[in-house]
Amino acid sequence: MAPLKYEDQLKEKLEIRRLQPSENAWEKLSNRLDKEDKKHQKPYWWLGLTASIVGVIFIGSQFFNNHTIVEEPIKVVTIPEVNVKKHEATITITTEDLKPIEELTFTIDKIKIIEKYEDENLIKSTINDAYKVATNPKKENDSNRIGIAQEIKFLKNTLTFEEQKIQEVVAQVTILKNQNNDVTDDEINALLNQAQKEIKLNRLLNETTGVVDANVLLQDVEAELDQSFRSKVFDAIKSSYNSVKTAVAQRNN
Amino acid sequence: MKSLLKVIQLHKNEPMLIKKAIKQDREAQHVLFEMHAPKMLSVCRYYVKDFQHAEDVMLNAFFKVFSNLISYRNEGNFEGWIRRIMVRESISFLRQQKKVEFSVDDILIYDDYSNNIDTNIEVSQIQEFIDELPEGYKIVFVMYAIEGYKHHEIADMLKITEGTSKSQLFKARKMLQEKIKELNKTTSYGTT
Repeated sequence: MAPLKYEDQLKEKLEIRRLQPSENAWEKLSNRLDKEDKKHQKPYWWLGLTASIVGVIFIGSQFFNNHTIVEEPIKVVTIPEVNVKKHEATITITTEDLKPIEELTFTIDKIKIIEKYEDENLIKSTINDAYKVATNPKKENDSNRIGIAQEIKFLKNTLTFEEQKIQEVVAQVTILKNQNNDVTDDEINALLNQAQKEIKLNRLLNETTGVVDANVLLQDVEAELDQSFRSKVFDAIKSSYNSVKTAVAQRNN
Repeated sequence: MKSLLKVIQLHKNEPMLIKKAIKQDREAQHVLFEMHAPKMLSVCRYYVKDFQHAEDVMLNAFFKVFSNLISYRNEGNFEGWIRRIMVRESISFLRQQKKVEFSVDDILIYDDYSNNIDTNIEVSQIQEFIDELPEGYKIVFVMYAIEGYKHHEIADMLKITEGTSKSQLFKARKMLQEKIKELNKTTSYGTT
């Protein structure tokens, strides 16, 4: 069923035909295309807006999360301001009333405690202890005195700070006992509190760096619950008191 | 002469215009529309009897052309690509109007067409004869005789069988020949 000859002729005539569209034809088409463009552009606009909002929320959340993360670890450690105090306590013990005894005994003539706090956070506690060896003037022996002094120094070096403080408190109690023949609980408590403060400060302060160690501070708080120090002191006082009491009794005899 | 040169120049720049039209450049689209609209309106007019409806069909088709221009990959003739869209749009319009009916009666197809038909008739007259054909006959006849589609292509596009397409063409030819013969008779009688 091939195309017929006359159909080819009809086709040729129809193919060369041109029909002009109406004048507003392009305008109609252009308006439709514009509307279509706006339809296509709207979703992209909303998409962009949505994406930007999501982006802002994401960045904001990241910022605030980071901010909180940063804030958490920063803990401002306020170093308690230590009032610069200068204590000087001088306790003088006269040994005039003491009778010479055969054994070499020593008493602490003078205990001078100086707490000196210098610079910003540097706390120095220095204790100047003056030990005098009291011996019988008749049997005074320089070589023995030097030897005892060295022994005390050695003991002082080998003892821990805490033990040193115990010894100091015991010595002070002994001195007070000798002076007043009686030591009240308040006086003992005052001495103990003073010693505890000094030990705390000694623990807190790293002498080499001058920085307060947070861990030590924490341990210090925990240590407050520990009454071992107090019990140790009481034990030491008890034993010392007995020895002093014996010595006084012997002297009276 | 100047306008002819301008048209030739525009045709030479057609690929560039297409590229711009893809980017929704209205000016380029306008130029392409002006270049092809008269021919495409004529194509639409083959199928659609009413001129205004034919123009609406053409505008719809051009809208699809510019909306889907990115799918045109410079393969083949751009005019042929637009023309196929025009044909599909015209058929779609006629289907929407529910004017398309394909009779499936079995008829004996025999080639007894007279080839000696005087076709010295006006285009408007030819279009009138085509318009008078039933929609089914007309579509198949135009697609086959004027557009050059094969029967299997027509069958695919119209969702009919090849046999139906052939019978539609046979009936259309028969009817058209009779009309032309009748016209020739009246003109010869009139002239003699």
